[in-house]
Amino acid sequence: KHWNNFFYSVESIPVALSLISNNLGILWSERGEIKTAQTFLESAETLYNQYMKENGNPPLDPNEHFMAEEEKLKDQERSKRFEKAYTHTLYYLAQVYQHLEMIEKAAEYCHTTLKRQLEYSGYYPVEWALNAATLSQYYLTKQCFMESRHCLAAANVIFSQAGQAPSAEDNETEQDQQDLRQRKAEIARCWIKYCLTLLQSARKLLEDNIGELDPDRQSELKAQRKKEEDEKEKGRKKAVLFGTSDLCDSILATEEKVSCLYPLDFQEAREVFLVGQNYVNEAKEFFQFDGYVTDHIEIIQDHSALFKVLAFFEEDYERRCKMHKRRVDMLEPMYVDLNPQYYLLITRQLQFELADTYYEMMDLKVAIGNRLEELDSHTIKKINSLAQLAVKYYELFLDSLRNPDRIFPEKLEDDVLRPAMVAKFHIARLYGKLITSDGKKQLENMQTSLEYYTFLVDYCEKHPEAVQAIETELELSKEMVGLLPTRMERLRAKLSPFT
Amino acid sequence: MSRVLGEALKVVARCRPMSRKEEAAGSERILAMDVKLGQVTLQNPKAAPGELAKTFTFDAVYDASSKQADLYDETVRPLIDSVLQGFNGTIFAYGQTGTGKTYTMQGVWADPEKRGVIPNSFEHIFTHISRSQNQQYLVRASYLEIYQEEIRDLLAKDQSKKLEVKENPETGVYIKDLSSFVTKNVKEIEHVMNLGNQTRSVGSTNMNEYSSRSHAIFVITVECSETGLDGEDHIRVGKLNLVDLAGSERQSKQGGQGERPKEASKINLSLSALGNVISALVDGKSTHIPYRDSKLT
Repeated sequence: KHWNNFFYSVESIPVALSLISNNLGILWSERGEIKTAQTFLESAETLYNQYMKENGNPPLDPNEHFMAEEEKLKDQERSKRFEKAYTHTLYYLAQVYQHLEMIEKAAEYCHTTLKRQLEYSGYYPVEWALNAATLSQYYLTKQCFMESRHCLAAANVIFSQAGQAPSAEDNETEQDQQDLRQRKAEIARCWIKYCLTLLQSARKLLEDNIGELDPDRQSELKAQRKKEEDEKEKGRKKAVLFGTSDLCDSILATEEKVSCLYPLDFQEAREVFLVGQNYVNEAKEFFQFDGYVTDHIEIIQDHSALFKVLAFFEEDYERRCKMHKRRVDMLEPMYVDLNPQYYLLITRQLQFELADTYYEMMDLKVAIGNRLEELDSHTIKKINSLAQLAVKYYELFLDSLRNPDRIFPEKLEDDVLRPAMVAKFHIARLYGKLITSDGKKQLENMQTSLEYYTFLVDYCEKHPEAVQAIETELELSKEMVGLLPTRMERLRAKLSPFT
Repeated sequence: MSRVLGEALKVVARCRPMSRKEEAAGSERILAMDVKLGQVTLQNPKAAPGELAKTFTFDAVYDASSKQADLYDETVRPLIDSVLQGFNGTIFAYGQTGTGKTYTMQGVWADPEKRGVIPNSFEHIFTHISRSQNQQYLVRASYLEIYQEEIRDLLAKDQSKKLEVKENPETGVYIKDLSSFVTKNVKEIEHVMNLGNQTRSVGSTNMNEYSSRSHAIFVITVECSETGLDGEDHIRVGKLNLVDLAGSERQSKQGGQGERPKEASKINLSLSALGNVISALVDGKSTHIPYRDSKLT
């Protein structure tokens, strides 16, 4: 620390100090004294800022003291080295903050490092683009959509620089070409997450306690949006801007293709959805099913999620149903081709999602039916078939939990507990929803329904620790276990009045 | 220990005898093994007074006096038997450099008493085949190596080509273009292994460092064809993966869950690691991190 006072007075020293502070920072980190490293690095940072404020000329590089007059560096070169040293200071600080678990600060310094790489230090376009795309994902976890979009847009622009540069060696191999295509597809996947997260976050803000769009909240948020737009946004934006002016324009052009504000109605949601869908198509082109099974399925799951969240914004039930149908159509073919022996987890995810989607569709058809005067046979058939498909997939999921001897486990593992219970619960409810004019059949359905509700109640009695995973469902199941036997009695009495 | 679709997982521990150097230095033995209970007890030589020794239980435990044949007969033989029946099996040897992984896996080929898991497996497989009467067998071998996130086919002529991990919906994960050789007897399969081992040592300046950082997988595929009572040919395919893992002393990573906070605080000097720093910031499920998988998984 005594070095600060001594060296600051001499003009040529700042860069030396910067480098020394960097090295000391590294040295102390290797000794595990991370806080000390932080001190040295932060002092290098302060020095840079003070120096730049008070003295515009680039300081002498430490090596120059040992050079003859002719050999000394040009101003430009000096400046370059000085800036490079500072970029490294920021980069090391990012790591220090990360080790100290000051994540927000670490992200800020990573961002600045990226920024400076574009301006001073030189960079590899593909690497830079991937890093920016990765940083965008950090911003997503913080709901900072403006920053996230900026990183992604910059990633697109910088990545395209890679394609343009004529390949130095003629034998730019097929492997290199493929690598490039893969990286582009990876960036597309980051964009998909952006669109999906934006839509899902908007949904959380807009939904009421039964999961429907709340028009009051919607008007509130729209009014709020008008007020907030200007000053705050501009300030934040300036802090994170990448690049020189020509880059800025290209990045801005890309940003303008998609909003960073929460979509508040169907129109706005659809626009974000369409951008997401485009990136899905782009990513799918590279990550094909045969060859990249896991990646392909993740992309399709994202596509399905995009449809699911878009359906939330759609008011018309028929159109909503069509969106869910698109989900089924894209998930089912993949499911059919997968070997559960190698893809157990994914198989279970798909079974569950297909079941849930059919369940959702059935509920919609019921709601549509309720608006009509009378349920026609076509609608009844539709409702029943959807209900049965949902049951089919929930049963397939439950079957996948059986051990090799086909016995359902006594105790369920933590990671499958809730889904298994929800599956049982939904099946119970679905049997309650099946429509039939045949009294006997109706009794059978009620019996099955009762069995499944009973399973839930019994399991929670035997394993009390499971209760907190399915509180709501358990409540309802207990109610039904109480009600159903009485209803069944009444129905039985009605069916045989001559006893 | 868990049952996964008919395959069982077994973990055994083996302890080597002290080396001459260790004995000469008067080193203390901190490990005690109870073969009957399958337990290993570790006594910390720098323990605080009153600090208890730690005990770990395994499916089986082999102490310093254990014989290669014992290990093979009890632990490995049943696995090879099931491979011959058409099941898949994998054997990992895990431990720090110098703990005797190679002795256990390879042993001394020329000495029947000191042969390791691999030569014994070869012998087992081909003896079984030679004794079989109604079945036709086909044995193939492949040998690959993973080093610094790249996969090398140790049996390929063109060593510059790196292999890719791909996935097929029906058959799962596979290595694209991995070559395999048909072997008809122990000599031939030994030859294949030696070929691969030679390739492994080529192209590294520091052999010790290299072998302690690379993972090698020798894959034996056994196809068995039998004419059933229905007159049809029934084919069973079993795969045996013999994995020689890199020295586990290298396994502690940054951001570590370990007992080595000093190493975890090391600052990476090169900006090429910026990507890793950024990836580590992202902690969420609804995100996509480009390109950070380890091929070994």
